[in-house]
Amino acid sequence: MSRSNYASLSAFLRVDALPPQLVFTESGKKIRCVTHEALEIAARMKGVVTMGVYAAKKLGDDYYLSIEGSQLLGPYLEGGVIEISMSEAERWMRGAPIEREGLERGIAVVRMGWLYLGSGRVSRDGRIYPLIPKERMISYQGDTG
Amino acid sequence: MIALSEDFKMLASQLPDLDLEAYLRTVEEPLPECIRLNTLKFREEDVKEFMHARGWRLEPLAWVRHGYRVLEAPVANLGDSIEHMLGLIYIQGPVSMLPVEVLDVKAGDRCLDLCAAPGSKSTQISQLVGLDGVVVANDVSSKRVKALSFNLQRWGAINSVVTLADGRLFSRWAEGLFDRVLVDAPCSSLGVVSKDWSVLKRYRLNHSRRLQPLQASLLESGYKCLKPGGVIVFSTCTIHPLENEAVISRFLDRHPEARLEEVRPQGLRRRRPLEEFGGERFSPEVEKCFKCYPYDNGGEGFFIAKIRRE
Repeated sequence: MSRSNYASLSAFLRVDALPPQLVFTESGKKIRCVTHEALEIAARMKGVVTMGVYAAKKLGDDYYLSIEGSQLLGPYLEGGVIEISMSEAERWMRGAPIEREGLERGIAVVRMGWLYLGSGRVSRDGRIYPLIPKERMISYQGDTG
Repeated sequence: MIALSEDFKMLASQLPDLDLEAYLRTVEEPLPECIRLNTLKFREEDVKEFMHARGWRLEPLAWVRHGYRVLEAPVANLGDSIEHMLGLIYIQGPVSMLPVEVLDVKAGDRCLDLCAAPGSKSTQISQLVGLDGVVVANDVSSKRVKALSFNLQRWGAINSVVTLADGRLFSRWAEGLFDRVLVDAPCSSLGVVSKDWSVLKRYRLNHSRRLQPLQASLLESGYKCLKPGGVIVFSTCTIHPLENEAVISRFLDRHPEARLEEVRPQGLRRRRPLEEFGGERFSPEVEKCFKCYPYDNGGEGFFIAKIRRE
């Protein structure tokens, strides 16, 4: 399916700026990002399990981006990107919320410079709660830089 | 003290170039910690700078692009680092990175990794083929395919396709389709005992005898999937000649048109493959393959053959 079919997703993105090799495919609420070449080869394969990466998921009226989705699409987002520090990133990757004032409720993408760390839900108390799977979280209590 | 099965002791006595003491001393130690940096999602310089600021000290591996030995890390367990969780790095044995380097992957290539789980080599291929190429990562086990998909996701491999199929049948639908094929075949794992000492206690000669026809069939199937002029790499992490030299020698007998190419990596000690074993004389061409024991490079024992389809 062409990315131009994603009117609702493209409302969040400057889609025309995306690399031309990318295609989005939709299955239920999940959206995957894959290259044209991979899509073409997959059509000739048997036993296909997945193509490309899981990039985004529809959550009510919003989309939230996976860690990989945020890295791929984050630079093309129109807004809703929160810059965090290294020590906040350590807490975020342990599943702890980060605090910011003046945010609207909804979904925010978190980044540290060029490194995107997925999405979080901005709650009523102004905290951003990470929406990253447990198996991607760290557990150590190392140097927070 | 590592326990050895009778069959392993027998094998060790039959390998004329194996120093059993050195082998056991090496496999008693953990493998050196090595990583590959993700150049598919990030710029290598950015990743290095980020890691340096966090206290990593890295030393490049001579035989592989983007591969490094870890001299210092900010965490005791590399798998519990932010870098690992965000897919900036892939933790991988030092010699295990060699088969993909030997495969000589170019940007834009169509590649098949026939026995791909858990995905270390597929992620390596994905960063080399780039956005205009593709890696089809196949495995026969649904349980292992989950790990494969997870690792390709973490790596951000948007140029990958994961399939669940018997690799021996792959050529039925993919004949002549790929520029590069990797057959990192299931094996008795006698070269990576550091990860699990019980391999030496459980080893039976029948394992190797049962694996050999499977390896041969996978190689055959992978070879058929190549375009003319394409390259297939067959690798194992075992030291048993039945699963290495014998598989390649018999393949060459069946395919006089196939051309075995030299594998001479920079910075790794290699040893000459055997000319005969158990009464079977191997093709002299097998000498072009790469073989090392764990103590040769303080890493894994590996066997690698590179074959071009004419």
